[in-house]
Amino acid sequence: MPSLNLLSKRQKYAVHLTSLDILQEVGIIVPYEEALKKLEEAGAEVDYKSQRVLIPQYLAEEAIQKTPHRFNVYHRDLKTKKTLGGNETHFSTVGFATNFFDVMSRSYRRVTVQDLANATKIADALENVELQMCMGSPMDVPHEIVDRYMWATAFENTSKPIINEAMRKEGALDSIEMASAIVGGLEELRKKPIMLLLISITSPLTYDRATLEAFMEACKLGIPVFVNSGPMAGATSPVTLAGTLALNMAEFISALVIRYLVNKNVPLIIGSWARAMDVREASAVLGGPEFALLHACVANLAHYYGIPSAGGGVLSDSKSLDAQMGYEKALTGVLPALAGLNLICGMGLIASENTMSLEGLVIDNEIVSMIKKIVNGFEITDETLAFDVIKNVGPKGSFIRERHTLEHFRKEIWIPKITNRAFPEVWVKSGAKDLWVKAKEEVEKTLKEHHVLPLSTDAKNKIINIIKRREKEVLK
Amino acid sequence: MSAENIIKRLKRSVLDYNTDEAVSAAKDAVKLGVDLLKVIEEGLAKGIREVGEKFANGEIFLPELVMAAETMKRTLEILEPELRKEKRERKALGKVLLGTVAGDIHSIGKTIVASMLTANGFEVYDIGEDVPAEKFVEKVKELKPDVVGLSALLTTTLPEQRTVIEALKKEGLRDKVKVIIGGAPASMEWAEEIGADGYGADAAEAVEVVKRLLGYSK
Repeated sequence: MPSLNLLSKRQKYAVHLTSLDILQEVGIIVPYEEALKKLEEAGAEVDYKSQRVLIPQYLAEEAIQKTPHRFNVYHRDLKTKKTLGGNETHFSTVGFATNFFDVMSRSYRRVTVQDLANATKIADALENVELQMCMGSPMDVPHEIVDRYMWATAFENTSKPIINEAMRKEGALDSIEMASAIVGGLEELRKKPIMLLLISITSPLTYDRATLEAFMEACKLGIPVFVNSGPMAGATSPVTLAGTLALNMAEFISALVIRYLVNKNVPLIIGSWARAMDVREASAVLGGPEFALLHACVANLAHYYGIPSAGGGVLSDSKSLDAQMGYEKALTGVLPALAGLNLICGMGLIASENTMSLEGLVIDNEIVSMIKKIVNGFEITDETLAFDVIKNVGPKGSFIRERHTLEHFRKEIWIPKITNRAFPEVWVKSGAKDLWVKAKEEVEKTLKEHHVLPLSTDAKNKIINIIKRREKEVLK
Repeated sequence: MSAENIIKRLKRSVLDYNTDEAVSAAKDAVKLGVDLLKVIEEGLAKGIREVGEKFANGEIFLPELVMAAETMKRTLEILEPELRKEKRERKALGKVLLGTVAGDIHSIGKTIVASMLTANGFEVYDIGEDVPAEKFVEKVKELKPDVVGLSALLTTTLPEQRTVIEALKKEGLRDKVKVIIGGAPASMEWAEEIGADGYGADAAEAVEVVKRLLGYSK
């Protein structure tokens, strides 16, 4: 597998030292007493009033070293697994859009639970979606407990591992209870996790209390955590990409320290959304070259540390399924993939992660398929160098009837699913359709034909009861 | 070994692109003296039709289609001389003669058209590349095809398609065969200009055109 290094050893070391200096001399805000106590006991300098914590180098180094190099997450069948960490690269959908793009009318509307269910089901069918981050944050349910609806919708509509947020300690507990009901208990879930709990650090260098509660609860119960940090160059981090990278890594290391102090066994994956600010629109740029560069560098640093890494990629700022979407998704996907980022999250959303598109999701599946082919490269052996075949066919001959062609073409030649390569005349005659039309056909076919591995009645009832319990609290 | 058994082997080997096994089954068929027409129709033809359907559905791809057609061709090379001895002939949808015109050595497109036509039940004679007009004339006289297909990939060899049609006219053969043309620089307009009967933009279209010209479809 080719592995692209954008940083020299010396450069990685320079970033690393800066991250350590940030933690030791600038510190982070940790507004949660329980966490502050643990950090103080471990040797950090804690100011309880400002809730600011200075983390000494030795503690940071120790936490990095003791982070599990890789771990497995499971499908609901508890047989299929994906390893996060090491040399593997996987792809996931991304979250948490509040808008839905209707490609026919080219209009935007609010995301509903039904939209999330449909998207999740399609992603369940698409072979290149390997994990599922909940794509939408539905607007037609009570906001206070939207995370519960998201978990429930995800579990029901896919058997792939789920990445999702949870609100406060109770949200984390509810999601873990749902997953436990599916796999047959907390002990089984710990052994074969079907979920990752996503928590977000607010750049620069700040946690909020609700996040810390959920984070620590997941650690205590032994549920893998996905730590997201997305400093925005020029706004919430230095405008220089190097400074943004150092700050991003410092934030991740602070999470490694908290994990280490709460539960040494629990796996954690860092997930970078480091990005630039658009200097015209003041928006976060998720489809730009900086996004691709930063996440390739995060992959390089994570390999240097020996920790699992994730990040945004296959993302776009385009508001439509157009050429901008194509080049942004391809470029932000392929570069981190070549650098060995373990999990690339971006499928299913457009408009800077703000909007869900079912047709976009199908197109993303094709983009990822192509990226995988590039990353996997090709073999060089006597058989693949094919001298004997060349000799046998000779000048003026043709290789199309060779058995060698028949035996190798499926592995050597990427076969697209929706990409159009017909002759221009044939394309015109068949209606001169743009790619999204083909994608739309796939969407309709999948929604009609795909069957998701069903949940047991027992698990389904338990999940419904968890939601009912919370609805009562919220609606009273 | 029964005729049933041989039919099964032939069909299977076309579906598996197993040329050696198909040839060996054909030799067994001759040796055992079973009904060769039945063997061709029930074994080979059924197998190749299934391959054609799989290709049209996107389940299999060109190298597989070409190899299945190749398997069929190699098997018929053994069975057809035997049939002729019995003064019998296999029933194909029609006979198509294909070649790349003089000065042009490109073969891939023509090979694919040949495979597609074979998979759709036509009897195909591929007379190769860089074929001069006189050779086309000679082969038309000899094989009496229903359709002649002229392939050209180069703008510079495209005029040769007209040369072949003119040669057929001169020999009084033009009204005895349908002429179709193909290749990257060819077009419907060009077909009309040189008096060809049809044009296919790709291999699938070529099959449609041949079917239409022979009255199998509108």
